[in-house]
Amino acid sequence: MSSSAYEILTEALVTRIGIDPERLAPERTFAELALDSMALVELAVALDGHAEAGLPLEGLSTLTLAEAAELLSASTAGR
Amino acid sequence: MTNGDVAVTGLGLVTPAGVGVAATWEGLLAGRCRAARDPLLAGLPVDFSCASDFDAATALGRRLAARLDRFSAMALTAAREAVADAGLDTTSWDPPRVAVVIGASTACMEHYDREFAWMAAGRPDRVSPMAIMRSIPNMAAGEVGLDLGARGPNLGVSTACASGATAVGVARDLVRAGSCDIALAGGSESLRARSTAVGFHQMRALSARGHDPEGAPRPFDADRDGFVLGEGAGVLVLERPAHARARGVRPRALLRGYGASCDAHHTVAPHPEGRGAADALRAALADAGLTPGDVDHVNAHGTATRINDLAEYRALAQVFPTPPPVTAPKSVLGHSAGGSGGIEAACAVLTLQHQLIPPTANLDNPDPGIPLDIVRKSPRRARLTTVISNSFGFGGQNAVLAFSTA
Repeated sequence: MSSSAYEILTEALVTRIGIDPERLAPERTFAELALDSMALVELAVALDGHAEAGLPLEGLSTLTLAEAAELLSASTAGR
Repeated sequence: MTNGDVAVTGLGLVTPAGVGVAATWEGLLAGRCRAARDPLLAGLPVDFSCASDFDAATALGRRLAARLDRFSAMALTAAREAVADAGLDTTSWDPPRVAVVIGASTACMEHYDREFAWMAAGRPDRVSPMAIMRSIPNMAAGEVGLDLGARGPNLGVSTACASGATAVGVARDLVRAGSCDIALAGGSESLRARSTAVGFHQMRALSARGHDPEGAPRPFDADRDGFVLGEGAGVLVLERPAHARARGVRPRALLRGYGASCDAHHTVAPHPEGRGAADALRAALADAGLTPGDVDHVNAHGTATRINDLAEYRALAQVFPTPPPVTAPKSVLGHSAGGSGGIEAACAVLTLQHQLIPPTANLDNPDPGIPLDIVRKSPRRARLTTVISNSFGFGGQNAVLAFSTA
């Protein structure tokens, strides 16, 4: 898991979606954080260039934050 | 009391004087304007406003604060306070019988400013997917309904600066017609936005008293030069008096009359003789079964623009042989546009309950062309049975509410 991608992801979850930082953990899924489809789109847009390649909306809610961070760092590395 | 009267059983307020009914009433009685330099408006020709210390995350928690636009967050906070004040239990009320009507005009342009800056920067891909949904003016009512589980008639109304008062009137009609048992009604808006400040400045509607923000809103003063951007929400709980009685709740006041009209004169300028405003005043009194002599106090629209205050005076002089004492809350709270009508309706109810008229701030040099009895300097104790609250909007849209003691 890339620590910087995880930080970018969790910062967006806190500032854009309003998730309590204490609820964030690498093994948590987006579904457990109760992100609905609109919140997932908002998160993807907030993550900007990372989003398009890195965070497919399909199936995103079942991913853990660690898995999403992996996807993000992979997409950044590929650019 | 007549058959058409509707009980006001709860109030909720978020204003530049504070969060909550008590803080706002205290601020109104203190009679000191809340305007100050606003970092959000830095570098603009008008860079001050009446800002509320309302913090959405504190009031509603992070999650709601992140999702809601500021005007919706203020409306929801005021609605929750009003519901608690009315002694209502949202787990036991009949959800389809609870209506929500919240007025807004621009709602909150700050959010649009921020999102659409990405367009100007050539990055439309960065615009939030919630950019539109968060800010459409009906969303305050929608979010209140969602949060409180109120599933009855739910709508926003928009009559510019009269929106909050129109919402109370429309909600009153829903209660009267039997379309709901309970209505949460009022207005919410934040005019604190760069585009709003520039837009109103360009039309010369804002006070340019940048060297003295606290002295800027001067309703009915000879030196008045425009209104001051404000923000806030005011929500009332309305129900039929019999419904309140059955719950064992004593109303704060009765909403007895509502009058609405259109100047049909000019896009933004009021009719110079206050024709439309006078029509709305007469309509509200007729609706309430009252005569001009029954009115003990006028909560004025009083924006402090040159032409509004003169037209409002002329309207009052037409309807009242001797106009009763007047006060202008925008001198303390600034102008919250769609929010003001709801805030001032609540202010009128509090004035009745406390039998105390809050002063108009900054009225140092009364305009000799406006010979009204305006309460200034300090609150005035008075015997008050009926008060009216005036709200007039761009588009020539006017709404007047008449309240009496319960």
